[in-house]
Amino acid sequence: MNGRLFGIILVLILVGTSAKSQPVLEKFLGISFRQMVSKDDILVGLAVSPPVTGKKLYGFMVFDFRPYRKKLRVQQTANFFNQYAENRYMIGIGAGYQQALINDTFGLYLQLSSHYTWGNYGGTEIQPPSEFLFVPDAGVFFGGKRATTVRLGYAYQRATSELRAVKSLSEHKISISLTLDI
Amino acid sequence: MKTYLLTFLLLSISVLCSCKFLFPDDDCDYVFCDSGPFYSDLVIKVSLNNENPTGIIEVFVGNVEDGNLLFSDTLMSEQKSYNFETDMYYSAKAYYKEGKNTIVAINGKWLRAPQDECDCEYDGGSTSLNLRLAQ
Repeated sequence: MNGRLFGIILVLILVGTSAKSQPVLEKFLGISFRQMVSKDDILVGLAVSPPVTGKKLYGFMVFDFRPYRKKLRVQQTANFFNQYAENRYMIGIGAGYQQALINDTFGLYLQLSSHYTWGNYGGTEIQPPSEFLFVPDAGVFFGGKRATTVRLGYAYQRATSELRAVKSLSEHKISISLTLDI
Repeated sequence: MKTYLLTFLLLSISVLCSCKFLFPDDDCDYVFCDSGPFYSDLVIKVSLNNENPTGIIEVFVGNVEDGNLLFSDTLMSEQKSYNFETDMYYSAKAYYKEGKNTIVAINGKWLRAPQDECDCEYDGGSTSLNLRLAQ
């Protein structure tokens, strides 16, 4: 236990030392914490990109997941339904364009990403559909101190018939993300 | 180049610090863990309403399709705990009526034993299995 504590303290010291010399370091990575929220669904995830502050065009890679199991009803016969508990995951790549309106503190963004989504149901061998999706996302961004960017936008996530039939994914979502350039 | 080297160094140290290889936990060197089996609570949650005043459930080892029925029960409250052996996958079905419709809620989870600071498993803990009706 003491060894582990010593290790943590050592890392904190090293991180603190590197923070002091931060102006010398070039930022090389943007990490985004994302949420896509709708009335009956939440997806959270992480995106990585080159630093986005001050850039107009950027690319990113993303991994999203649902942090809980969503209950879905699937009709078996006329009056018989199975209710499954679904986990859902997505990976994707995308590109975006942002236009600053007030220095780098406020502006508009537009991004398009291509996702592969898959999932599983708890307690059964039956699997939910997997598929590719295109997700356009547009909104406003706020640039903060220390190369942070907050985005608030609208995302459209239209699944094909199979996923739409079981109402796994909501089409209309509010997207929120916090990006840190490190 | 310096940036990358420093970042690589920091990441490497972070990873190594989390490993017992670099900082072995002395307190655990001479601890012998019980080999089990261990038991933990599986908390099954159901919805009760006017149409479904009791909850009829079936509990299986493995997926429901495997057919390894452990037992059936009728729940009089919205949740009930069962003490089962750990390191096994349990699934369950709950049967509901909703007007003319029959709904079978299915869910399943691994039941894991809790671990102490020396990574020894012990009895206790709980895992919930939600079979409630979707809103």
